[in-house]
Amino acid sequence: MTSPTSGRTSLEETFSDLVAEHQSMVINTCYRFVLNKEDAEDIAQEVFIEAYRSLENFRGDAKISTWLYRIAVTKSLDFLRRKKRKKRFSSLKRVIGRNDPIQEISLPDHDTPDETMLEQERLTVLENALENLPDNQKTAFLLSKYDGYGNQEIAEIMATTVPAVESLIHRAKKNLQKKLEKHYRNR
Amino acid sequence: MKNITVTGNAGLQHRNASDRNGWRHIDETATKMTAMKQHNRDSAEQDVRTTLGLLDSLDHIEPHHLFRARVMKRIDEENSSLHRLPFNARHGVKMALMALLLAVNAGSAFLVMQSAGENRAVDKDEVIASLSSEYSSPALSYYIDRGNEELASE
Repeated sequence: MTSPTSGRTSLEETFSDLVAEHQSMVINTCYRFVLNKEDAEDIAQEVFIEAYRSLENFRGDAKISTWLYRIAVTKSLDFLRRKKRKKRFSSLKRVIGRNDPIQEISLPDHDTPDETMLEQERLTVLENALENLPDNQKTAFLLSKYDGYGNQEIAEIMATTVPAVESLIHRAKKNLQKKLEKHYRNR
Repeated sequence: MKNITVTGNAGLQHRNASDRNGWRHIDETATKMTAMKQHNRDSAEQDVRTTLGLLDSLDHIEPHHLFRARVMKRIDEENSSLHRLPFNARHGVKMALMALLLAVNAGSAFLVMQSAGENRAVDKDEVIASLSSEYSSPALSYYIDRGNEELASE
């Protein structure tokens, strides 16, 4: 069925409404994982395209929002894996003498360049620490850091139980703390 | 040498004093080191807290005002590229696959039938050959010769 005004099918109209309703949550979810606004928007776009393509496969046994956020998590983790591979490759290139520009992470503006640099450094340290966490710990921890999700919803997204999510968050915190302490003490 | 050969009470007092100074120095260094270690530990803990706090202080980002339009544009492009193909072309891949499958099936069936036919022909020949060889064996030659002679006399 095509709408005479927009030339869109009713499915597309419904999907457009779905995008409007969930775009903010999806983008912010991706942002927690990749810590970069532009990358988060790009991934969110892929999330909605993927969702549209696989609408037929949506069985309706979960909420459509949970299904969308699950795709967002998967896409973000894929992005991080690709980035890790790229990083390994660029360090290899550095070893053989070909430099790659370091990826910039967008940060809020600071009063002094020193503060910005310090925060940039901290964010890089945090990224490295997060990179080495197992995917399930990383997911539970990062989703818990976003106000939009309670443990119940995280459990639904990860298709697990609330106690399992709590345990994952606890383990992730401990692991991160250990990694960061090790880094800052060996400075 | 003079310093070493200091004797008597004065010398002892001097040595005690220098020992005390030495111990005090060691104590002070140890205290300083402990304080430094404590400071480093505190500073590391503070750094850890600040670093982890970065995740809490991440601001909520607003989607670009064209975000939805971009997503829908990509969906439109995907759909139109699918619709741009004529009906036959869209179903052509399916039909071609089905035709290929049929051709493969028919071919294999033909091959099976052909090989079965060849086997049958071979079998027939073999039977005839074996029969003829059985009756031309030396054991039957007497009857064959006798039969030939009788025919000649008649």
